[in-house]
Amino acid sequence: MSTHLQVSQSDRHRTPLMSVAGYVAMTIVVLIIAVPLFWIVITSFKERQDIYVRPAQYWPSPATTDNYRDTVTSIPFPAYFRNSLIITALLAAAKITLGVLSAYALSLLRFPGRNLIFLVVIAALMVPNQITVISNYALIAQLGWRNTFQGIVIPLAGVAFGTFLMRNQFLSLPHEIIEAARLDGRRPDEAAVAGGHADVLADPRGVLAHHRRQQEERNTSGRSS
Amino acid sequence: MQPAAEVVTGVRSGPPPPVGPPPRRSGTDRREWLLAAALLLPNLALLTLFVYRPLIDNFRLSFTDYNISSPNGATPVGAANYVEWLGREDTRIILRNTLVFTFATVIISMVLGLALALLLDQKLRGRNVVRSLVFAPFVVSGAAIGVAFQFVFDPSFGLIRDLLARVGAQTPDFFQDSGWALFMVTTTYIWKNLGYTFVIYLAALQGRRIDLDEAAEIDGASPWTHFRKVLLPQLRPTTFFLSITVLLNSVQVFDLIYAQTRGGPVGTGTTTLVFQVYQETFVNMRAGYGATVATIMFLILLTITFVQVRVMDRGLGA
Repeated sequence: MSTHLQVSQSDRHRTPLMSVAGYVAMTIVVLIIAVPLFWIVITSFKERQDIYVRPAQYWPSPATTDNYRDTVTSIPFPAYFRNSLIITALLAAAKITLGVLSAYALSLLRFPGRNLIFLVVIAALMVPNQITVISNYALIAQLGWRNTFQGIVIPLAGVAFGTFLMRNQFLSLPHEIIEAARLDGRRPDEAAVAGGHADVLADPRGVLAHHRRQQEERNTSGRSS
Repeated sequence: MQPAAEVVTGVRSGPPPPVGPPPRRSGTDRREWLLAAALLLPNLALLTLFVYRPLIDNFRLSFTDYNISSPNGATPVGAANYVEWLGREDTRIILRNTLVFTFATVIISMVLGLALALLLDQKLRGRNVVRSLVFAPFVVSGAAIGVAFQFVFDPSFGLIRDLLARVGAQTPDFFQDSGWALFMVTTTYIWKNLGYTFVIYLAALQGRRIDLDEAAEIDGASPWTHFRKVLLPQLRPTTFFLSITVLLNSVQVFDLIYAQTRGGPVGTGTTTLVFQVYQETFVNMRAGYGATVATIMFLILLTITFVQVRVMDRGLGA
């Protein structure tokens, strides 16, 4: 998607007034997003009694890193961090693989019942974790997977959102190339790669990764409490 | 090639158009069918085992008095849980909270996301930094944002109190007043998730057809006409995709509410359906009733999504 670098044509005819309005709007956006973030970071460097004062302190004095030291020492932070890394890496690998494979089948291959299977995958988006957690916990316990990584990763490895996103990505590939390849007796994936579209296949993974993280967090917070 | 708007978001509602000519009967087709089965089976097996099996299980449990801490198992109680749900006082409040939260977050984050995408699509200096900044809160976990925003909303010592005091205004009690607590949760959620609608809309805008922009310019269309008649129709598949995914995500929000209010104040001040499922199942130890609420919620979501597909699908045909 090289269009990112293209300048909209309407920019050529922008008046200075519109330009100023654009910068004013952008400044407001920056303030709304950045000020709370700044406040949170600043608070983390304050001593406890300086957090609850009036008028509020916009700069920590004295600044302290005690909160950070406590975070690392009062809980087994390295172990938690390692667990997060392992779970994230495993799930990311599983979800990207399964999502790409499913989306490929649902968009570029032709077989009976394709639309029905697509709908079955999508409907999984409507089932919240709070519904699945009890029954999955029971199953995991039966399998003897309590307190294991596979007990967390495997129930979460099915991909609905990623399949949805990747399928639409694949559907946008130029059909002519794929059809030409079919006539040559090649598979659609070979055509996509040969046509220089391999990069397009991978584009929306950023959004996918964030969504996956959200789901994990939603699930683990529901489970641990 | 199709417009790239569809690349990222392009949900064509309903059945997707077939790619290429209809299937022929031949050896190639059978091989293709086998390949498709091999590619789909792992994912379908996981979804069946860990999403659809629990969903059916949940439906079964909604007709029992199941309690997760009791070893005795569940006794069937017929439709008693459903009757209780219909008659209970908190049902109406929780439905209203869910409705307010969901519609506010869906509409506001979609409108603001589109506005931001239009703004940061302009050639402005520093727009790349601002784009990253807008997306940043989306990357942080809801639980962390929920905890951290207590320092922003704290009615005695928070950032908002300080800013309002400077202009001589009274700070509402975000922690004790139900209405303001719901306002706090909703605003925080929109602030955190604006980056999602923004990025998807921006990608769609960047994939739009420049020749249509030029045509509108030649015709002397005003910016508003240009937006309404040229841009919005091209963004329609994106709007459809977002309206479904943002709605499903909003309805299912849990971590933010848990971290900010625990569903309170005064018991059900910011409790939504998903939070009630958690509360009944794990706090009140009434998993049967929790399963009932979950089932009702699933049916509501199914209905809304079905209506969305039908309504927006008709529009897409035009």
